Amino acid sequence: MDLKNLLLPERLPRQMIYAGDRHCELFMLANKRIVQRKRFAGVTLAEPDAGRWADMAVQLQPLDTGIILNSEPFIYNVFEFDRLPLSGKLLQELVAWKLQKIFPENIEAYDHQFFRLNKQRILSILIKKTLLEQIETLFREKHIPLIYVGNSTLEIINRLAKWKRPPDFFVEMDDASCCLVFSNKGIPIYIRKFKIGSRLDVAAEISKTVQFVKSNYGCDPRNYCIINHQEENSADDMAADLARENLSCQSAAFERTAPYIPGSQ
Amino acid sequence: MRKIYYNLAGTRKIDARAFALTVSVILLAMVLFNGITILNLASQQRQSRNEKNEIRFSAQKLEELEQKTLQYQKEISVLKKKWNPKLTFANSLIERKCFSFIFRLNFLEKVLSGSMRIRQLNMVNHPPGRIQIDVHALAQNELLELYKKLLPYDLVIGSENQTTENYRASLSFKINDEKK
Repeated sequence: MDLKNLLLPERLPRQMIYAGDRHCELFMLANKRIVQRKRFAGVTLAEPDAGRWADMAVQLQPLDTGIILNSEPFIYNVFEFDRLPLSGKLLQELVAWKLQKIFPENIEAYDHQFFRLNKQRILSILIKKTLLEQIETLFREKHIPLIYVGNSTLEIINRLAKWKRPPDFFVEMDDASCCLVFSNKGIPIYIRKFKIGSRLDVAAEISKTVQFVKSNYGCDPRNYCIINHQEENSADDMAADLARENLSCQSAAFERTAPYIPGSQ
Repeated sequence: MRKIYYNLAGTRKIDARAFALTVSVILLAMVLFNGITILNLASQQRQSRNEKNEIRFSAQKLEELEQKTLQYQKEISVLKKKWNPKLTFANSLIERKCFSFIFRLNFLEKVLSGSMRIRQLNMVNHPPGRIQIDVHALAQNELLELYKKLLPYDLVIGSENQTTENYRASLSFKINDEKK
């Protein structure tokens, strides 16, 4: 995979769409900078007919386009093994066997990919194939070339892995869902998604999850980042709530940036 | 942690610039590598050529030396042919003179008493040759004493005469080669 990307590097689109729970955000990039950013409320790619997809589609330029889906349609698993086999085929069989043990649905209906995090951990990620087909069709109808379909959580993980001192976890908050990714020295160890309720409920859920990780993974998460896709609620209130739990927020580096958009600074 | 590449799009596009850059770097690395290899090979070939030249030079020297040796051997053989008769002659002389005259004369001086005189001495230049002497003695017992001394040496008394003044005897005896 790495060799393929090294020899055949993929081009990142200049037009990027972040697909949130109940909104979409359009980004135009130039020289690795976001030059234009526009939010479309009520647009959901999963239900294009119900939302305002047509309004947004008009705004799209006939350029190479990419979509960054939020964590909601994905299923994440971090598998831990004593030792990972070097052979790719063996590793695939091992991950498939592990996934079948915990995943009740038909795996064939999902696009499943996994990534070696270190010598012991694997990150498995699933998404329904029908959703991908639906998105592809949507763009094909509009004659807009779709060359990138990514995932915001993985983009943030990649971004934080470059930090000298990455936070112990990050919170990715969208309109209706929230994703918590706990890591140890930049390597994800636990990922949890949950539906968003009130701000206090979310803070309590985060606190509970921190305690869970503390007691099950032998680490003490203290620092975190918030990546907030919500328009109405500010992350500062959430940070204030979590500060009472001795959790310190270090989101300043992400201010006015979009770490989930690949190719942007 | 290695970067996670995750793209689910059915149609993807290759970044031509990055691809060209990667290919250029790879090509450059290959050219560099090949250049280094060629340089190394050239250097090795040069070294090998130098060594071959040295070997050829040494072989030439060796051949020259062999030719000189052959020449000397020829000269030696010519000289040998020239000197062989002389050498054979000289060797035969040496072979013939393989005994000591002095030893024999010393022997005679020992066995003869002080009053006896040797009038004649014949010595053959040949190791097993006999020695002939004519001796004069004042008394006969002196002669007898001499006979006694010469008996172990295969003594042959040729003649014995008595005159008014002395006794004369002609004797021959054989001394083994003292070198043996």
